[in-house]
Amino acid sequence: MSPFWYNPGVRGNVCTTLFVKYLSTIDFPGAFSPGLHEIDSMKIIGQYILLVGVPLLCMLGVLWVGADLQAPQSVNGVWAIVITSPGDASCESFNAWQGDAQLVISQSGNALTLQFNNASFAHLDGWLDGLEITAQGDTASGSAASIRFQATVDPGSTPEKMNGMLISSQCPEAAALDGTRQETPQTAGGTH
Amino acid sequence: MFNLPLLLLQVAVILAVARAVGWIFRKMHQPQVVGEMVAGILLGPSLLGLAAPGAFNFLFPPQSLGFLNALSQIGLVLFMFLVGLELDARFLKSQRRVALFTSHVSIVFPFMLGTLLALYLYPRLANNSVTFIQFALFIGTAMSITAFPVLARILTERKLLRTTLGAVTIACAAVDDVTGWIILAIVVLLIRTSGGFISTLVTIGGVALYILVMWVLVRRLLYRLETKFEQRGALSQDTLAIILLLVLASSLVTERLGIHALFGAFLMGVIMPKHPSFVHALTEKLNDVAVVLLLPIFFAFNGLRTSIGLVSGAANWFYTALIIFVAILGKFGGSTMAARVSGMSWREASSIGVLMNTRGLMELVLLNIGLDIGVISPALFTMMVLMALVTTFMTSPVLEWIYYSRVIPKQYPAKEAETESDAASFTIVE
Repeated sequence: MSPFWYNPGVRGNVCTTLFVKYLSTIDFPGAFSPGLHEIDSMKIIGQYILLVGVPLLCMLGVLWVGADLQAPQSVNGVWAIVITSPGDASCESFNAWQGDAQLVISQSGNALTLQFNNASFAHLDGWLDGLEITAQGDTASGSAASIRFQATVDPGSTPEKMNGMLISSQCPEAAALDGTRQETPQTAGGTH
Repeated sequence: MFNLPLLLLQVAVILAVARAVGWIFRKMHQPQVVGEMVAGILLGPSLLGLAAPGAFNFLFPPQSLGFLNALSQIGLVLFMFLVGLELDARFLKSQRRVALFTSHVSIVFPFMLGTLLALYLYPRLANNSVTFIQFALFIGTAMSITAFPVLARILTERKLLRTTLGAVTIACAAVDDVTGWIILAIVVLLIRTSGGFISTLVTIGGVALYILVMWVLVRRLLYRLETKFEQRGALSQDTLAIILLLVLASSLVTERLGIHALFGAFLMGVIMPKHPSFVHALTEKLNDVAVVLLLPIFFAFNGLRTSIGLVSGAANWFYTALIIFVAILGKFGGSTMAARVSGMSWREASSIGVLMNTRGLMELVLLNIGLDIGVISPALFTMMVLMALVTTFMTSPVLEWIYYSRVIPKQYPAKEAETESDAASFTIVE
């Protein structure tokens, strides 16, 4: 005897009936063996539930569990940067950094790649810790100086801002920097 | 500034490298398209940029990439139209029941594993500009996609199209493709309309209206065009122009609706009349330009965005290996399990699993959309491109090992399977 929920005669079981009808169009064991086409509907439902329903439920569970997950603060994109050199004019390391610059940040989780589009063409590898960006690398402009970049992002402002400093291994003083976020990256080949 | 000589040089170099690497891959019993995918990466920062940075910067300066991108997008619009055009409900005729069940499992199972993987990757490779749900849905879709055109090509080349294995696989891939693109459309919609409830409702209403218009009005027009074609016995330039206009209009509408231009092109292909001679005539007209000329440009553009240097350090290589493992487990495992439960032998079931695991260029299309809308980072993009390459590259040799060399000689000795018309029936990619 069929269980009550599978009895097509029972009112309110239209959905079950339609579901079983749909499942009956799907072949299961014996699909290639004539004579085995009359399959127990319960078995069909069981297999479908096991291989489709359970993963579907698991997926919904994962989405529910992960809904509260936090990812690192977004800092990727193009930033307009203003660099103010320290008072010591003899420090040549900062010559290539004067004035406005464009900084392109490529982000993968907490790992960052910073590319300056100014005379320095500096390419720095960095790390994001909360709202603090720390990066370091060498300039591509021929100077032997290594550069350290430290900044704090203010996600509350619109557009977002950052401020911090640029430290050169050849300069006693750091240069101040202020940045304003311009756009998220145009990933057309240029922001790796 | 537009630089015509540079653009011509770029296209010439891309075409030459794509054909050369494709030829090498054909010699390795791989489809040409796999070689072209690799050629794109070779031209990017991963190889040319490292080996000859001067030549790389001369050939692909950042300001020139916009034009290259425009060409590749037009190529993709045509390509997606051709993919939709090749999808035919008749695939489901012969093995509908097995195909539907296997297809359902082969979507849901990798999707579930993809969302599970997203739990691990989200805090490590994403940022808070995308929510976990958007990220997880995208990774799930990327894990469950199958490259219908590459698959069709492999089955044709291997003369498997008329076998039970081929019929089930092609039907599964067709269902997977349609489902995958619908899910991706939803994900893109979710991300682009995250502004508010009203804008989401307006977009959903717009999409529903668009589909209704396409299905009811445009489809009728297309059937009239097909009737004209049958009366004339040839595809006139006027008819071709109308069809191209409709493809472009459909792409424009979906782009404006926020679900990406490629969906418009794909849907246009899906609703086209499927009379074989009409499909063949249309494919013949568009295929060469789209596939031989424009698709390699897309691969090159994809390669320019793929920087293997971003996958540095043990942690990143571990993530890459994990992504590849989950992708194979989900698609291969899910499809194999479903086909086996459906009554196929282990060998046939695992062959279906291997074939369904082919992600090929459809995965690349999807990943580029993901990168465009900011749901994945350039580093994760590179990892997923490597996954797409591995899963596509492994198909032919593993299929040869599991099935072709062992089953075909015994089971189909006299049946030199496909005729020339079969081979011509799937001509999108080589």
